[in-house]
Amino acid sequence: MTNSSISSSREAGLFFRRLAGFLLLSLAVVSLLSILCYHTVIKTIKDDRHCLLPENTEMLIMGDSHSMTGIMPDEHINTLNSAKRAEILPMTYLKLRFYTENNPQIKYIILSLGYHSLTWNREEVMYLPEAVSYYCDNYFQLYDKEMRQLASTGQGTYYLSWLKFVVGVPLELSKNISQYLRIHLGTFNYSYYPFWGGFTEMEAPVIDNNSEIPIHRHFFRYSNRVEMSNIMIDYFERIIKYCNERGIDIFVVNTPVVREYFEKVPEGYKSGMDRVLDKMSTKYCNLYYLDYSQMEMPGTCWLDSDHLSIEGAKKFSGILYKEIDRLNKE
Amino acid sequence: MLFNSLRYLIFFPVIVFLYYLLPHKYRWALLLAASYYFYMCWRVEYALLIVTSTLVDYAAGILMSKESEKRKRGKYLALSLLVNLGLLFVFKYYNFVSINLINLFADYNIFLNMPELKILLPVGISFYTFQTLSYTIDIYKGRRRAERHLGIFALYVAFFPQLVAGPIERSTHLLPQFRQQHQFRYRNVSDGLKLMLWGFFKKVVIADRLALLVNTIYRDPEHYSGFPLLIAVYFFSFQIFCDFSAYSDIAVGSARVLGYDLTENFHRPYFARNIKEFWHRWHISLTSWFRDYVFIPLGGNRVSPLQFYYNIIVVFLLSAFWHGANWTFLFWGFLHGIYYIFTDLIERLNSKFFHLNIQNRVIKLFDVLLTFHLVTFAWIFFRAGSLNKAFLIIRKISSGIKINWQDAWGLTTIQLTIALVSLAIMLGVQIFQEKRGSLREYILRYPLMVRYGIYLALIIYIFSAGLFTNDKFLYFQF
Repeated sequence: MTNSSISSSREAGLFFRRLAGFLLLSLAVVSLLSILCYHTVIKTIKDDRHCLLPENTEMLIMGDSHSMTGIMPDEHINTLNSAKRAEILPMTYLKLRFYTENNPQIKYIILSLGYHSLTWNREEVMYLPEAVSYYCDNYFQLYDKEMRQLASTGQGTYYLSWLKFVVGVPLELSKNISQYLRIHLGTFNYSYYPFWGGFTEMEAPVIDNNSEIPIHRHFFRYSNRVEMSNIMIDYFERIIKYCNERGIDIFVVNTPVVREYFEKVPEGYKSGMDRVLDKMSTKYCNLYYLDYSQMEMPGTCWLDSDHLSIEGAKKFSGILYKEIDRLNKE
Repeated sequence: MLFNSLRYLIFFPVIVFLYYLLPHKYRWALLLAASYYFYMCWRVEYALLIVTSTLVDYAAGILMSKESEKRKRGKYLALSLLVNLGLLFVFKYYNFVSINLINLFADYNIFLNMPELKILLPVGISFYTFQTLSYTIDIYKGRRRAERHLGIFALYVAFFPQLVAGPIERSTHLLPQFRQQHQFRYRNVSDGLKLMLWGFFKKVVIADRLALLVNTIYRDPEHYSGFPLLIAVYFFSFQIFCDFSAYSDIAVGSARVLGYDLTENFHRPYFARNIKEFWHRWHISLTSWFRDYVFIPLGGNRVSPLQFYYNIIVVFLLSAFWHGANWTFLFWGFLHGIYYIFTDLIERLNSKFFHLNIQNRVIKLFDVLLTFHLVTFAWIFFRAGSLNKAFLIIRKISSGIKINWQDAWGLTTIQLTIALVSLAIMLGVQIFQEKRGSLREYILRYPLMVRYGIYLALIIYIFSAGLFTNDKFLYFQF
């Protein structure tokens, strides 16, 4: 052994001894901080009491970016929009339970359901690391045992959220501090929950009507068509069943898409969704399916091939609410 | 693979462990495999571009070294330039050139049919292209011998710490290091880790947080009044510095842990007293590349003042074009060229007529602030998506400022507070470094437990105040 390699091994030994000492110290400090953080910040933000909606709220809009950009709550009385971009049906189900259990005044739910909503690609996001981290960041406090099991399937990012919300490790604590302070200052309300979402005005006129990209994202994996997802169908049924048990009417809305997009939706998904809806309609009397996917709109009403601009949202919401009111009168 | 990802936090220690475990003769193979894995985590097929660049420049280098006449070496250099710059042109500049040619000819009723290429810009292509070009140019000029070991040469092109965003290393500096036997040195590993930690702080706590506001406002500047636009302009100035210098810190730190010494890329640029000094402190590896391979061959400063200024403008325009194929970058480069010329004129006038050498603190501070504001002004063109947007931002800011704050600008008050506190910490450290030198050396004077306390506090601050949304580094796009 040369002098140089002996000194190298000594230095490595010293380094690892010090590293071990540093890690032990870190573990002790982080454990103390985690206990402190859990009992202050995390416990406070997990508190359900702040989700009370205005007393006159009767109708709650839910779903993903289609209802987030397409259905204006201001166009109908006593209506709120809680839809959030990229929200998948299992998250909608958890959110629905959260808000309705604490707000018995809700009588109607509007849920956007596109042809893409029941595909495997929507289920897959529950297992992709970046998506898991997005959903955990925003919805973790709603997760039940079943959802935790689903989200944790082999995902390191899930465990980061688990460390944050269950153990209290102060990871990305700054994200939760605003919520914590708002609760303490008394300025917190239902819309500050990270899973709320809300109607978002998209003013831009036609950005890109090319439907190839969303069609591919919604229905294909590489060049192969994806299957319908049993988990998504199951959660869709749970939503309807849950509403049924609570006496809530649910209006499932297929929001408008440009003609090119509609024509490119592979046939199997249209018939597949029809089958699912037929089955549910016979089983549950509180379900109303409103299909506007083929509704013609002028060019300025589109944000892209499957989302409405503010102008489109205004027009579409008027038509939708008229139909809902008509159905309610009947 | 991103430095600020969980994957890198696992990848890097594994590589370091294996590296020091392996005998020296196999280490290049480990680093080469790790480097390609690092790159292919982003897109597998684009690794072929690095392979092409590597093989062409390796062959060009060997062939050039066999020729004693410079003229004969020229044809191999031309081949290397053609392939490397050709790839760069296709992937980075083709669409820009074709669109502008189509528009230009359309004005004369000539309608060109140039198809748009729908391809992603390969991450880091400008960096490794310039790195390999410096190698072949150096051989052509007789400054170095060709590397005979293909594996080591491939590692020089693809060395993972600096592959996608520099520093752009010269072969004379980096290649010999791959042949040296690096022993485990406590100081290297410890210094490298501290530098990486500082880089993470700048990236995930400051740059990514400022990006929330900057991206929101720069996306639609027409919807915002003067004050938020002004804030976005200042914030971008710090965001780009923190983002890019963070990458360099993590790159230099990672390499140092492995025993390699990479070029310092940033030397507290916002403390520069004039634009000339700024360019000696900002993206140093690129600036020196342009100095050695463009500016000096053009005649450098040993020419008439007029020719010198012409050279300066050429260098800044090329540097701007290196950053991206857009008129906004070209305008940014041109503006810096003008700044540089103006600074040089003042220096010439001073040395000829006034002989002033002001060392007054207030004047120094004024110089630093003036330089910072000139640079910040130029960043507007760098960041805005189009010249129209850039001029709109300037117009709106100059038409009036009404101070208020809205969460809808992308940062809540709490997030803003964290951003400002973190910026203050960073600037405080930089002021210390400007006045008293290395902070790391200073901290080393304290007992072990105090040092541990400082590092642990920084780590906890990074983890609790950082945003781990895996935002890409800004300079990946170049």
